[in-house]
Formats: sequence, C-alpha cells, structure tokens
Amino acid sequence: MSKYFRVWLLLSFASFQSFFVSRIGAFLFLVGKILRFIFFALFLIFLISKTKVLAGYNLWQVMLFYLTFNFIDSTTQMLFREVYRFRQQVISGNFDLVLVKPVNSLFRSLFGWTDILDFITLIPFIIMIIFVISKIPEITSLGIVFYIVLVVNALLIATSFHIIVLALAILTTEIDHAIMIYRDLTGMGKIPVGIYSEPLRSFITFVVPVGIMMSYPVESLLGKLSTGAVSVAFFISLFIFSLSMILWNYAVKSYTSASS
Amino acid sequence: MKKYFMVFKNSFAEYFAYRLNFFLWRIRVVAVILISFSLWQAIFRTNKVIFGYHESEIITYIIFISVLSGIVLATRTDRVALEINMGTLSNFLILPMRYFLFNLSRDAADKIINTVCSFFEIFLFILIIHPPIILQSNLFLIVLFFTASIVASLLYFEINMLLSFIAFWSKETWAPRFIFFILVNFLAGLYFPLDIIPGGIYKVLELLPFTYLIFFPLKIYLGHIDQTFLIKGFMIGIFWSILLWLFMGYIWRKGLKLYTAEGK
Repeated sequence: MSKYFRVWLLLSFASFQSFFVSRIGAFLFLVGKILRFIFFALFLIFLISKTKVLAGYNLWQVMLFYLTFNFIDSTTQMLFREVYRFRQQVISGNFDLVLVKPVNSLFRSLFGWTDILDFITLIPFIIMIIFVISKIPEITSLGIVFYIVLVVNALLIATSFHIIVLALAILTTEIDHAIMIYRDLTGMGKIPVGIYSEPLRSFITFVVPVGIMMSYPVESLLGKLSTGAVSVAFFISLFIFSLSMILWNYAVKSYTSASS
Repeated sequence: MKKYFMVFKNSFAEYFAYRLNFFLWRIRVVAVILISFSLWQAIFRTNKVIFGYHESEIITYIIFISVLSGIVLATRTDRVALEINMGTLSNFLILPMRYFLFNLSRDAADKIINTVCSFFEIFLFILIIHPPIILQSNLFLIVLFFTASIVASLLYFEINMLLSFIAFWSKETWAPRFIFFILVNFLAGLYFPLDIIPGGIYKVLELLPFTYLIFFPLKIYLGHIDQTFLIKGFMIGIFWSILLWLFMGYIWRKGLKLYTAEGK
C-alpha cells in the first residue's frame, strides 16, 4: 500500500511540475473553473432570491447541494485526470508500456495524472461547505458523520465510473465522449435531484446514481434521508464497483495491442 | 463552388464514420438541456410567472436552445489551431481554395447534421414529455429568427477563428477557448434568458457579441420584441460581425507572416 502511495506521490509531483511548464495556460484554466463556479452560484442565488425556495430547499440548503457537487466533482477530476487521455494510449498501443511496468495497470491508468488546478479549488470548497453548514440550524453531529461517509461513498461510485470508462476505451476505440457524458450526467447533481420529475429522477438515482452521489450526502445531513436509503446507497456503490472491476478485467484480457 | 461542396460532403461523411461518437455527443447535448428544463419546470411548480416569463415561454426558450446550438454553436474551427500548431496548415495553403470558405464549408456540414438531429430530438421530447411549448406561427418572426441565427453563426465562426489564430503565437489555445465556452454558456443565454438579469448588468451585456449568439434569436422566436429591440439588436450584431471579420482578416495576415510550418 505504501509503495502505491509513493508511486502516486511521484506521479502527482511529475504532473504538478508539468503545469509550471505552461503557467499562463494553467492560470487561464483555473480562472475558467472559478468563473464557471461563480456564474452558476450567482444564477442560483439570483433565482432563489426571487422564488425563496427551490424544490422545498432554501438558499443555504441549495448552496450546500451545489458546493457538495463541486467538492466531489473536483476531487474526482483531481485524482482521475489520467482517464481523459487513456483512449489515446490504447489507440497508439502505448498501453503496452503500462502493462509491462511493475505497477498495477488499473492503478496507473486511473492515478497517472493529478490535476493541481482542481486540487487548488478543493480547500476553498471545504471552507465554503463548513460556512454554509454553520448557517443551517437543523444540522446534527450524526448528520455530519453520515454526510462524510456518503461523500466517500460518492467517490467510490465516481471511481467505478472512471474504471468503466477505461474499460470502454479498450473495448471500443470509438468512444471519445464517454467521460464527458459521465460529467454531463453528474452535472445534473448540481441541484437537488428532487427537482427532476419521474421517471428521470429514478433513472438518475438508481441507474446512473447521480442522486446517490451528489444529493444523498446533503439530504442525510438535513435529516431527510432514511436509514434504508443509506443502506441502498452503499449497496449500489458496491455493486457498481464490482461491476466495474469485472468489466476492467474483461477489457484487459481483450486488449489487442493494436498499433504498437 | 464545387470544391467547397466536396469539403462539405467529406465533412458530412466523417460523421458516419464515427457514428457512436456522434450519438454520444447528442446525448450530451440532450442531458444539458434536460438539466435546464427540469430546473425551470421545478420553479414553475410554485410560480405562474417569473421574471416576466410564463412557463411555456421559458420551456420553449430552453428547448429551442438545442436547435440554435446546432445552427450557431456547431463548429469545427477548433481544428484550425491544431492545424497551425502541427504545421498541417501548409497542406491547405497550397490548395486552390480560400481558407475561410474552406472552414465555412466544414462548419456548414457540422451545423446541418446537428440541426437536423436537434429537430428530431425535440420531436421525441415533445412526444414523450409533452412540455408546454410555443410553436411560432408568425412567418415574419420565423424569418427574422433565421436571419438573426445566421448573424449569430457568423459571429461565432469569427470568434472561434480568432481563438484558433492564437496558435500563430502560442501553443496554448485550449485555455482561452475553455474560458470562451464558459462565457458563452452564461453570457449568451444558454442557461436562462439574459433579460432576467438586473438592468445595469443587462445593459452592458447588450453591447457584447455574446448576447446575439443565443438570446437575441430566441427572443425573436418567442415574439418578446418591440421595434427598438429588433433594430438595436440587428445593428449591434451586424456591427460586431463586420468588425470581427475585418479583425479576423488582419490577424490571419499577421499570423501567416509568423507561420513557420513548425512540426511538419
């Protein structure tokens, strides 16, 4: 385990260094990410200042949904940026070089590139989440524990989806947009999933569990989630994770090393 | 003209070579519209009119963004930056073609296929969800809507070409484009009609080209217009188109003097 942590630190250090090669580009990307966050936050603030509530949630509660989404999304992107360039490795046959290394190929393909820009945004998100939580009166200590556990659960689901995307990149060379579809679908979790009408709500809760990832942590924090729903969340995340591992193992066996 | 038609035809054919990719791209477009649609639908559950808009008007606005994205935002001009950086621009420079017309032909294929798909998706959307949608019957407004969409397409083409021309000076072309996408998302009216923004900010936005990419044509389609808004809108939109066209030509000539076909 410590070996893999050292490898991750080494890979992260290398990727951090590469950002300093093109400092202006990195700065502009960071500005873009901050602008995107601010624009949507302003939109929500402006909207709820008129409507007072959104799907039964007040402004602070909606902001907590939005901030939790951003925290999970940024953490995922920070850790798994390598997935975005994996298809190219398969097409070029360079994945061979990963397979022959004395490091688990899935680990290398998932964690090969750490995004410093998302890392930079994480600390402000944590501060903002703590600030917004302090503004909501009905929070309990147990709710906070459940919130943290369900955020970790969300990260496990996100990991599973990234593994599925890696597997798809090996199985089919045609998929460019798979990871972006994942991002667009998870983007539906910027706002409480209770907003969406049926059958879309069930689809993004149980089939593509955006709701479990992005909304359940906040709902549990606000005391609006039953123990049964929390159990279902853990069951679904374990199921998707197992499925992703089966798919990955199958994909690696199917890898033909074309173009190498 | 025949050669540009061949460029159009080849670009069109590329989509059929990567069908799954294109299908997944359309899923992405639909997903983004679904977010906005659901958000506004939830708001109208407890409000009859908000920011001066009825539910049917906002829902029509959101759904027709799909069509307008096809007409205006579909483009292949990001390739230009890659061609400059890779040195493959040289291949196009020696062809007996005008490079801008060549790119417009590539874009035309992209726009047609995306627009046709968006009509099909809207049809399915209406069939499945039965949203309260306004189908404009005023022919004059429809003609104006398409005219404003053409101005918007030209504006978007020019801005994108200028962003790609950064490649003459720098390898870093994706970061400015990323910021541009974010600005377009919010300042062009892709999430909400811009006139719901407080007056002072909206007055500034009216002077920027972003407003004329999505918001202005859709506002015409909804019929939410008066003569002043229409004349002012077309004047500012056309002004930006001419200005950016001249600027694009200037930057192109400057850039070509620096171009060394590096990487070739």
